[in-house]
Amino acid sequence: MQVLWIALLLTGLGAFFAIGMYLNKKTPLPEGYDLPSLKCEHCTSSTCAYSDTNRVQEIKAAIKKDCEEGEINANSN
Amino acid sequence: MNFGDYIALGLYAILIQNVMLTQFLGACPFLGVSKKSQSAIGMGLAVIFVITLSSIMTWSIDHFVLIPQELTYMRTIVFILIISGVVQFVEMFIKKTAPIIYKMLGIYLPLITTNCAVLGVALINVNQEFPFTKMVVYSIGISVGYALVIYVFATIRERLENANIPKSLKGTPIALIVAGIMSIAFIGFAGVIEI
Amino acid sequence: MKTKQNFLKGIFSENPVFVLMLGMCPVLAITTSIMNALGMGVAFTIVLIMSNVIISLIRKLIPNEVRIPAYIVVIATLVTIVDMLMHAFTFSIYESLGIFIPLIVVNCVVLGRAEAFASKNNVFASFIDALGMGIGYTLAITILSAIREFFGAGTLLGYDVTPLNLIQPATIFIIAPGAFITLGLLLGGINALKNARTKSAEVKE
Repeated sequence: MQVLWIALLLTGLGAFFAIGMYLNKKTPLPEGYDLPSLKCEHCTSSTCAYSDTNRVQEIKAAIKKDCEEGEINANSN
Repeated sequence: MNFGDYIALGLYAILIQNVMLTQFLGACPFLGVSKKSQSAIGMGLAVIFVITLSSIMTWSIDHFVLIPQELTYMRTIVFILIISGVVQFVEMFIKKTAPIIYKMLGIYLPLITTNCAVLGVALINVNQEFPFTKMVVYSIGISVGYALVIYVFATIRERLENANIPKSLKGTPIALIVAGIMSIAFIGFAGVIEI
Repeated sequence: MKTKQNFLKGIFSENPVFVLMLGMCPVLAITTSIMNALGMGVAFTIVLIMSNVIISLIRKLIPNEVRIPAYIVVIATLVTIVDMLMHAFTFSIYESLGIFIPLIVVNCVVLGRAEAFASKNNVFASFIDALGMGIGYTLAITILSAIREFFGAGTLLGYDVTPLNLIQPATIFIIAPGAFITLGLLLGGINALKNARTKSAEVKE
């Protein structure tokens, strides 16, 4: 009896959430609104796949510079 | 309970048992979002919507389904599913009816699902077994208190940007110390109202 | 990345409390005594390890659209199990932690590691990452609560260590503002150490 109620609750709430998410995806964003990537600004994790913070960009720029210098050295030798 | 009792309860939730400075719920956005006062207002408004709606829904399901069927151990899972659903609906509703408000607070709505204050208030309501109207007043009071504190904190932090602070304390450490001083100020309200 | 680097990053370079600043709600509320902090740290580490492993195992089966709700349901189930175990076996810690055990569900660290790491790496790496993060978190809140308990109540782990009542404890450390101020000063101290280290590294070059 309890198992029936649990299953009912979970499917009901899951459906509630699914309907909400579906309707949310269908409604378009208001005009002139670009989704700023504010969410990740405060996080300093470098292993996160989504982070595009300043630190990560600095690291990427430094790696790019090293690669270019290595290419120039290889070309000149 | 008469009307005066509800006002007392509201003030109790806003000032004396302030959700952030006394109960420590909702600390992550408090420290992360409060760098600009405009985003703080957005966060505060969104929190008021979501806490009120989700408290009403979680209390109802707890009262009509979980307690009669003795399923109180399912509270955590059920409540968090309700809160995620409510956040989706609130986001869709605001997108459709008030795009201006969505521009101000849209980015923070999905973030509120993991706000400790929302789940915390829902659990406090059922642990202390509030009746319905008392629960509504308490939830609204708690969320207004949160919005108030986060806005004041954001304005103070904006002014701190121009202040002369030692290098090691810049950023989060001085913000935490400021929050501590605000918390000391709020202790002055303790014992003013007893419920 | 290598296992040792994976493990140590959770303790030092990406400590969830001192560096990532995620999951701060329990940190501020729980750290009134070392016993509470250890209990919370152990519960947190167990939930983190199990959720990372399970999510890493099922990562290929979940469609991308519903991954966040799926993670939340998995974590909520684990937290309910841990909650009931603590209620049965360690009742005094369960009572002093209060509602912060169910609040592990919405702890940003647990969800964040699931989303950022466990959904993209294999089981062993996720396990090591969770172990490192859990130990780092426990260490951080234990240090914080040791400071607060020593200055605020003069005890350590419940044993009175102030000799002959010579030193009066300062109650402010135990009540609400003490959490903010202690954590702020601790973070300031860590920043000062980091700055001193980078400065001496620059001088050496």
